[in-house]
Amino acid sequence: MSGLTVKRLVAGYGGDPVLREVDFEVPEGGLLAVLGPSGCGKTTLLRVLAGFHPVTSGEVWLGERLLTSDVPPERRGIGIVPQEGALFPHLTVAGNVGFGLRRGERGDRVEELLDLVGLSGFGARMPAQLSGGQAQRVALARALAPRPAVVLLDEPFSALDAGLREELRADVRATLKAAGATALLVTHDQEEALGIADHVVVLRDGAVAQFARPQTIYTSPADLGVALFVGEAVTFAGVARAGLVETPLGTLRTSGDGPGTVLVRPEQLILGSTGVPSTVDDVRFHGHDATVLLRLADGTRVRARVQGRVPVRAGDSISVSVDGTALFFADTP
Amino acid sequence: MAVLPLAYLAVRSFERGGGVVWDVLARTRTAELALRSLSLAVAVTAACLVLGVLSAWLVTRSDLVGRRAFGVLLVLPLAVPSYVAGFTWISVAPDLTGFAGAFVVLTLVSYPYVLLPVAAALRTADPAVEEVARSLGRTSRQVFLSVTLRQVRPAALAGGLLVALYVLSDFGAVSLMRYEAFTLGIYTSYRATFDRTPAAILGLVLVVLAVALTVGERRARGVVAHRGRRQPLTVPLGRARLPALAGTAVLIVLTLGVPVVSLVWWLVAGTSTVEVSDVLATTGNTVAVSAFGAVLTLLLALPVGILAARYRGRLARGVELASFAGHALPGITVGLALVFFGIRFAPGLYQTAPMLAFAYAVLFLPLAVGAVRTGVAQAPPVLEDVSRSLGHGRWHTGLRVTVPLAAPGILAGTALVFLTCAKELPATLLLRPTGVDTLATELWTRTEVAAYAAAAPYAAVLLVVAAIPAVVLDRYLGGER
Repeated sequence: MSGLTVKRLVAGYGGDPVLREVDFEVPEGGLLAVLGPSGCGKTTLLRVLAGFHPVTSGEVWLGERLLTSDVPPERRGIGIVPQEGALFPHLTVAGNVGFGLRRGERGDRVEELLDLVGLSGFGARMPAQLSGGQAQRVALARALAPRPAVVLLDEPFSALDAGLREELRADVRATLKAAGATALLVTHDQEEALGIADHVVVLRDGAVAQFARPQTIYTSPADLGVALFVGEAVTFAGVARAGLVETPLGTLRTSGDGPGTVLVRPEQLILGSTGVPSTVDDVRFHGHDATVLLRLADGTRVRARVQGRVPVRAGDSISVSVDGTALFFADTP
Repeated sequence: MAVLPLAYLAVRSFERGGGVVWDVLARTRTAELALRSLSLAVAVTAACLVLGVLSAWLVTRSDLVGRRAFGVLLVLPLAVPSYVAGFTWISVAPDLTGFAGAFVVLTLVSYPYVLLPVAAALRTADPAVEEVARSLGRTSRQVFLSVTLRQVRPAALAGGLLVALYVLSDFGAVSLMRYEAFTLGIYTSYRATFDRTPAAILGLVLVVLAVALTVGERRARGVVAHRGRRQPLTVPLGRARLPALAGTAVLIVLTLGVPVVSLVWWLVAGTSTVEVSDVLATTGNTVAVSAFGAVLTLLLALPVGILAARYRGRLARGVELASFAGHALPGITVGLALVFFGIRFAPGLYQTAPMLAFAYAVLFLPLAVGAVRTGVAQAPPVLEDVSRSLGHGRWHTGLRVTVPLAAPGILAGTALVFLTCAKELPATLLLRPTGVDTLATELWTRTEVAAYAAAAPYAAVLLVVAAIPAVVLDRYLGGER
């Protein structure tokens, strides 16, 4: 196994580039999430890496090996897990998993992989008899069977319902780590990208907006666009001076200087006895937490996220303060 | 290539100048033929729309007793070739001829063309729309008229088009019923005189009529109903229960009972002089020419079907259009076109098996292309991508993924073409090699001279041959859903 390096990659359809100078790398055994809204070039990136779409310019390196457009998909050693699995409907589960193996090596390796994805004993079933989550596990086992250098996963959880998605996400991560596979996963779901990956590439209009660890992406987004894309936010216009900025939520600590946009995450808002006064407009209960919609004295509306028991009801008055520093993005002149 | 013979037919028509064409067109006989064909088509289509929509609603939406069984039985008449149905009716009721005879026979064999698409539309239409109409204060009868019928209109019109095209191009039933419609007119004109130009011109007029119908239907079709996810609710029939059951039973007796009983009667009671070996030899001939035709059709259809399945866009739409054009192409015109074409350019091939096989290919190419396209669509490109990412090259991927997935559909399609060839009458009648009789032509010749008992064994074998695709088709389409 070896890492994957992408350098100044340009690809597109006809004269129209979909990917524009994309750079990133996945270390051996790492798990990278490519995050972006639909139409940002995620699927084209996967097709280029797998060898189904030609490179206009730039390079793709697999370890020490340069993958030019001449290397056909079957000679790359890159496995794919398509959306909704795409199992071969005419083969059994074992037949699917063993598809990329030579006849002699099938038996044991197939069992080993079914075991790894938690489906031992399912070998004789047909794909039509599997649930969505099981089909995805088989698709992953099939991709891992020939010990590929890299596995590409295309929105692997998008067709599943929320509960199953979370469970499978953890299992897939564990499976990939156990197999020691280098993996690249594309998704439009920020929670998924931040929750599963070691590193995240935020792709916007075919270019890399940010390439960093999930924590960094969330706490220090490269620009306002990335900040708004990766999570909910309360924003104000403000002028920062000497590490402080005036907002309707009071004077907040921040970095930067001059006019710009102040950004606070809903979980930074603390309801209690200190801070600025506000009125509770509404409380939306989500189960594990709740969103409290507040109206400040000047009429500004903000949302706070509250864990556990919610101490307020609609109509109550309560003070609100900000925990930690606020993000600040200077206006570009 | 499929268009070539037709183009030649046009050339041949105008060879002796536009004046001759105008003369033939201006004859009162031409107008009479057209009027006869069109009035028959209108009457049969109207009757089929009523029968088809009602029976479709009964088997999909009502609580009719045994509606599942009825659903199968009501579709079966589709498999009865019109001339077999014609033979069984005329041998039972010799007075039933002319317009009435042709109307009865054609209606009874072609109403499933409306029933099938309408039943499918009723099954998939969103029941929520009807429920909303009920909640807004409409009664269930008003909902049927104002909402349900509107939803199935495109399906009913598409089915109606098939019926109209079927009637226009039908040769078997009208010739047995001695109703001089356009197709029979062409045949007599071809057989009766040395001058075959009028036949060519009439053949072209028939194609024009069919194309005009197809275009008209496309304009009138309207918006396809929104698809729902839920099963629609069944409507209790209440007091209409018994009449509905009786009506459905009568329809089945007329469509299936009469042919079967009449055949059995002639087989048992008839003093037939037909040798079993003759029937076997004819069956052998039929199998040979049909197999030749089916294989040739498949070979021509494979590249087109694969292209149409893999690349969306203009070609795919062209193929869809062509499949309708295929229904619009009357067998008699194709046969005639190839007769002219063959005499002029390939005299060695005239009245040989290859020429007949080519006629079958022209007639049934759309059918085969459709089957290939559906078959290949069973193997989506993403599966090929996966196979290649797992280390298999193009060829290996084709062998292990594409072929196993596409083959059942393609084979079913080929079988369907084979059986359709076996039933084909007019083109076979014109192009069959001298001395070679098929089941269809034997039945036709014997019924012409009222040798009903002698015709019965051929009709029986044909009925069996014709029933097979109904079963295959049902299974295949059933598996697809």
